[in-house]
Amino acid sequence: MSNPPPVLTSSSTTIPPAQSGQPAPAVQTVNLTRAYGSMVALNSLNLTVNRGDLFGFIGSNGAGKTTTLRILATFLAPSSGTANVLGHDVVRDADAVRHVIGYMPDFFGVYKDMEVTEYLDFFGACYKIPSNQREKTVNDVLELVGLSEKRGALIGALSRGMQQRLGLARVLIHDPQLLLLDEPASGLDPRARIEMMAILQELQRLGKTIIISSHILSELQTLCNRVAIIEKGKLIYSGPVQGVRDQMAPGCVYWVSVKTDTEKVVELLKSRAEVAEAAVVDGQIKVTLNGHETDPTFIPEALVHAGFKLTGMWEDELGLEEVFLRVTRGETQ
Amino acid sequence: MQAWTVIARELRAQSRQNWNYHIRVLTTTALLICFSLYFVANDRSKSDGRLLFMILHAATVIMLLLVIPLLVADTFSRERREGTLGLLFLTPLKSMDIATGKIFAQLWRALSVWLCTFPLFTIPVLMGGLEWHNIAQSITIQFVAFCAAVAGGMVASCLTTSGIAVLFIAEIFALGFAKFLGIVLLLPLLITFSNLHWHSLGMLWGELVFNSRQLHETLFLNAPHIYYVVPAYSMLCGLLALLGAILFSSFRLKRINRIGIQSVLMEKWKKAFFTPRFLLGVFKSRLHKSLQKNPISWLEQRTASARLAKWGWFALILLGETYCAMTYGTAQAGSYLQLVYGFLIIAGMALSASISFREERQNGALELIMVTPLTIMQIIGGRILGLYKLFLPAVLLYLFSRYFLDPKFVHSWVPNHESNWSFLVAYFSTPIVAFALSMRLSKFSSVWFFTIMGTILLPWASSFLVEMGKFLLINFVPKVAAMILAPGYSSLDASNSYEVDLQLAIMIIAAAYLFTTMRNRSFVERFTKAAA
Repeated sequence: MSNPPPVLTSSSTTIPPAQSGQPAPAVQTVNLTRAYGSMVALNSLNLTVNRGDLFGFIGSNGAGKTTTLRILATFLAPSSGTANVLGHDVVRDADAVRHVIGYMPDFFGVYKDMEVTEYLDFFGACYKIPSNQREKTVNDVLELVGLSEKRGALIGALSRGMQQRLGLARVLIHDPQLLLLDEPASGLDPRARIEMMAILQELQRLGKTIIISSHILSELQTLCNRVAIIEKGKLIYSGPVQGVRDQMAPGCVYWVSVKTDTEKVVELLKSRAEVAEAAVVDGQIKVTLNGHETDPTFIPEALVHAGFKLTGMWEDELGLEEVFLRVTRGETQ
Repeated sequence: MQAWTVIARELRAQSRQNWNYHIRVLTTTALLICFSLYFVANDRSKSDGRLLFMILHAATVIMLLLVIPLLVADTFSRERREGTLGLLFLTPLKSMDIATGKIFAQLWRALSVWLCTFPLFTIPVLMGGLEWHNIAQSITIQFVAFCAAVAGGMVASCLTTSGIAVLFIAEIFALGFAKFLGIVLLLPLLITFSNLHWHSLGMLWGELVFNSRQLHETLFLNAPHIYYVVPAYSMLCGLLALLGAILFSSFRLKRINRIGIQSVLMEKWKKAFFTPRFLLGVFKSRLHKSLQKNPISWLEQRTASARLAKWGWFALILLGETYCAMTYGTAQAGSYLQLVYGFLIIAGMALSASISFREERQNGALELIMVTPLTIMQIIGGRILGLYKLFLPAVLLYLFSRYFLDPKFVHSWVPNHESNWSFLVAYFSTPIVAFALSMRLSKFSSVWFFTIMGTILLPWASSFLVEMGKFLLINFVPKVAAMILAPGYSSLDASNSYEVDLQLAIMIIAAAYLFTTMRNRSFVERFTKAAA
């Protein structure tokens, strides 16, 4: 058994109580724990998602993402701790929660012998939408997800991407304020994935709060305004996407390109107190500054002063994927 | 021939399934119950091994024809449903290898069920009164029934992917094959005894299954050589049936792999016969109202197969009751047939209830339904209501027919022995018991079996079991018996009925368990495992 990953400081470890007059956050969990027998899937999760957020939920397989979403969807009851969705407790006030959330699990959950409209009509009836409004609602959501032309088709005959869109249409049928989407883009081809992300952005623009768990981190990076990283049932980080990098990468990384004498430049940079590490990677020099050092201007100054010809210098853009790999070990429960 | 790869894989997979062990225990238990009933109903001082042997023989044949088709029916259909059959065809395995391997593995599984009944047969043998040809006949008939059951299950498995339909088809094929083999089996008799007519052959099969002593007395004593011919001939027929099932499965698998899951012909057939054509407006309006009232109940009625099941049951009972009226009228013999019809309806209902949530569990829709504002009571209640509606026409027809045809039908609604209430209570309790068991057991076949046990068999045998308990007390713990039983109680008397009381007690316990489990949502994890 390897050691658990380090718990980094994040904005969510202490949750301030909602002030009177202010709307409750979309999601707020306090010490949320869920155990399956002796296995603890979620361990004291403290998480806050604000209204209107497009919130990315990141973690390895078995890290506890699906369990969290299932608890928020009122499908599972927590072993301990509390979870509030738009001000409603998921255990005590489950019925109210179900009216305001739309939950899409990581599988389709479709009846393949049903027609598209029949399927949505069924879930519309489950959400107690009056029958005279259902037809219009079904048409609206089908148009939103771009499935209007397939309204009479059998679900079994739809492609994977279309079935995923149908799942999204089902989620939207009762106009929920909070969407819980578990891997909505998994298994989709690039075009379908891009289209799905565009729909999500449109929904955020319409004022929906969206929690999305995904493995495609590059997309979350551009799509989400806030993310949370979870590992072995524990929250490692929760906050703005930009903040991940700031907190997770203690030293700034810069790439330096010189015309000649690369090895000598590396030696020179290593001798500087501000530099933690310097190495040649693919003909270019990767310079990692010490944690406290943020001003990189000493690099060109030192090189020019020593007579080297500097041809380029740029900051390393640390992606969400790299941050995720750095802070997690891929350990599951 | 690479069938060994499939056989090894199948046997390994089956060795990990608890159900294989449970079914053997259950089969032996059922035979033990028959055994106990024999002792309760008969005077031990006049014990004759022959009668017990006949009872066990008949029970074993019925068990083989009922249980084995269900065991093997899902072999290919499950692979097709889960899409793993196509993966097998990507390997160098041929359709014949797959069919042979699967059937061989299922044969072993079924054989283990049959073999576990053998030790019980030693008791009537030790009791005496049996001759060797009785045993030879019995083994022959059981072997043929065994082959018919396996062949029926395997053939049905190739025909459909529907988990529900395949079970019905398997039973129909198994009984059909058994009937066919029964006729084939008696061909030598037809040659030997020229006075036999074709129409009596079916009855002879019944005689073979249920009363071989009579057959022995009427036919076999006149032609001793038949003892050697019939077993060899019938076993050959049984083996040919198995070979036929392998060849058919191989052909079907090859065809399925080539043309996909459903043939164009099947699609056309379904469109032609299962699309509503008349009174479309009324039909749509009724479904719409049903959806508005309870969407879960609507799920139970929306498909063509549900409508087929509803009116299929009605047609079956209509056919049965017509036969009963024409053959027996209001004679006493018709009563037993009425009991069989009642049992069939409840067994069918138990099967439908056992597999009711199966599709939702497999495709994950249950998880989606459970996060809608529908309450758990609405979800389960809708299903129960849907099942009541599904069987309502058949049940009404059955009760109506019984009222006029069954001489034992008591024309009052006072609970009594062989009461009218027993069937009604079974009708209302079956879905509740089945759903309660679904919360505990994951295998639908276990749910089905225990539902029938709980709603029909156990209550029906309750008076025997109670008397058996008293009998054991008197004989083995007389002091305790003296304290519990009324003074002077000494003999077995199974005329008191506890049937309806026990049915009601089981229904109340099941309903309480169902309610508690749903309230605590402790079943969620088990229910969602299949989808995950």
